[in-house]
Amino acid sequence: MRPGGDFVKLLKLENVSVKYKTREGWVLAAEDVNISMEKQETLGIVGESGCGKSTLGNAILGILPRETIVDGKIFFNGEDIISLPRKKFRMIRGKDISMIFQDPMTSLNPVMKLKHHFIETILTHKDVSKEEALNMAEKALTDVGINADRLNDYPFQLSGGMRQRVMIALALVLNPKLVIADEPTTSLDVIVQAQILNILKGLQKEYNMGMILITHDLGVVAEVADNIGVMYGGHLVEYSTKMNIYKDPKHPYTKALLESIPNTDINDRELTFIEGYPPDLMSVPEGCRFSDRCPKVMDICKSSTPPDIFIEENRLVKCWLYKEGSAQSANDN
Amino acid sequence: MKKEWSPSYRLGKALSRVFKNKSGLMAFIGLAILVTYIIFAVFAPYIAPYDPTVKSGPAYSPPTKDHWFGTTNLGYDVLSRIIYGARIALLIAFLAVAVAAAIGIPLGLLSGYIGGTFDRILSMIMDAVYSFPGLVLAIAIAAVLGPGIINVALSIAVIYAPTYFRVIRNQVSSIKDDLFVEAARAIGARDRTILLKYILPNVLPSVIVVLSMNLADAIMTEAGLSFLGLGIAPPTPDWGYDLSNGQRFLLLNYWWMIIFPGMSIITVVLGFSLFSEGANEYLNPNVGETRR
Repeated sequence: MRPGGDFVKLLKLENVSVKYKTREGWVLAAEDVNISMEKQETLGIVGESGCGKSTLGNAILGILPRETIVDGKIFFNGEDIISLPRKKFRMIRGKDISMIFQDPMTSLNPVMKLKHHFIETILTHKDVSKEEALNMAEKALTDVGINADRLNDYPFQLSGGMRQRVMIALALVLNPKLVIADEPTTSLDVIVQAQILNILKGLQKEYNMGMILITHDLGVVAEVADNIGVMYGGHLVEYSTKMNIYKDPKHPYTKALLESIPNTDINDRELTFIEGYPPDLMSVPEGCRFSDRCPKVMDICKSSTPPDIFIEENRLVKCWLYKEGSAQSANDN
Repeated sequence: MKKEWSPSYRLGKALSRVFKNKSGLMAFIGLAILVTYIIFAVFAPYIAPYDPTVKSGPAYSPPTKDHWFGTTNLGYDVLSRIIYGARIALLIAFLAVAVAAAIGIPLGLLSGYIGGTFDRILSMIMDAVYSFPGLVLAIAIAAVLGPGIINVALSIAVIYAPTYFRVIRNQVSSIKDDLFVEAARAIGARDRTILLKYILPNVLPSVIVVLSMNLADAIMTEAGLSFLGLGIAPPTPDWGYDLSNGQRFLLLNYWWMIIFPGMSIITVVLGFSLFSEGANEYLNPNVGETRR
């Protein structure tokens, strides 16, 4: 049974695999990822560095390097966007799906004034005059709390937090249906982080957008997300609602991940950590990717990859410990 | 009016900033030499005392009051020939460098941006050209094309095109992975837009210094070609030709026929070198720091 009903999902990934070609061989950055999201939903994707979460975001937007192979199907509003011709796909980028990048310090062109960034974005997709484009830019910039005068500034004249807000304004200026935020707050300090998240949340409601929040910061997803996907070594190992993930994690990796968060309420708790290292995606281990570090490893884990098991509707665990529809019986773990 | 706002105060401030360090002074001296030669080239008919291709005095005359730099074996005024010679030298240098940049920069942009096999093949061709000794290649091409301003400029341009190609290609291939280029792709920008608006303005500054260094080199190559008789046909005033003409009479101690054209080549090349070196250190403070 697949999650979802009859109506069209905003985004649906079916068996998506992404392979990078490098000098040493193929890197399997993501494998058989199945995930979907509704309109206006916020989907959080968490995982440690190099687990394939950014790759997934870039694959949806189709901006992976040339020597990359994307298998499977990505449906956006019911349309398979992987099979779209380059030109048509380009028209979706920036208009219907847009992206906010990780590092605001380098994601603006240093030799272009802010207003040209906006004009460029708007005129690529909309047949409007420069004045109208500027008006839209002013509105978008005010939305994120920056004075419209700053349109004449160069990126270096802005602070990091302001640049990230400009990036948000740029991503939202054409009212996209889906925003992919790839670690939008990673390089900012905590106070600015909160500010950026609030802006994102507010604008998402105002413009009825779906949002994918890619992050390694569990605090950030807890704040914003509706549903959460946990990735490990290129696999989507668990997917469920925020409540389920935080209150009742199923996959051993998710459990270990949550236990490794420091907690100020409990004084005498030893901080747990996950032994070992994440797998090298150049040569992935046979079977479950987590099997080398898993405390509950079984024989089958070493030999074959667990399938996507839906222990209840909209609740996926990629682990041999569970059986289809077994949410209740597996609770003793 | 406040003192800070007066134009003369601001000019003084700007000048003192230029002269504060050695590189500023170097660039300024280089620039002064270049401006002198450019004035020579542009206003040659008004500055030169005689027509450079007409016998204007006794042949083999050493420097005198009438002929400051002496005369040649045909009685041409050496000073006039040097002033007019600046025209040919600068014209060919600028033309050659412009053509080289016009070939090298677009190819470098494409090669770096597209990458893959296209980049491999183009890089290989450029490296092959680059591996030839410059003057030898220029001689070969000039010999095929024949003499003439355009032909000489073209044969020099072929030598320098790979330099621009390499500088641009390497910069592009590193900058194309920068986040702002990816962000441009994420907004659905065309490849052409990305190349011209996002990548080119960010890589162009590194070409400026190469440009002025190549200008100096081009003047030497041009003089070399003319010296070997593959450049501009006489009697058009040309430093390289005058040098080769003058060296025939060196044993007779007619030093002025060779010293003055030689000095012209040296000073103009020195001007370009000082300017490019100074500008490089002035524009790019890191270079200066490591040398201090």
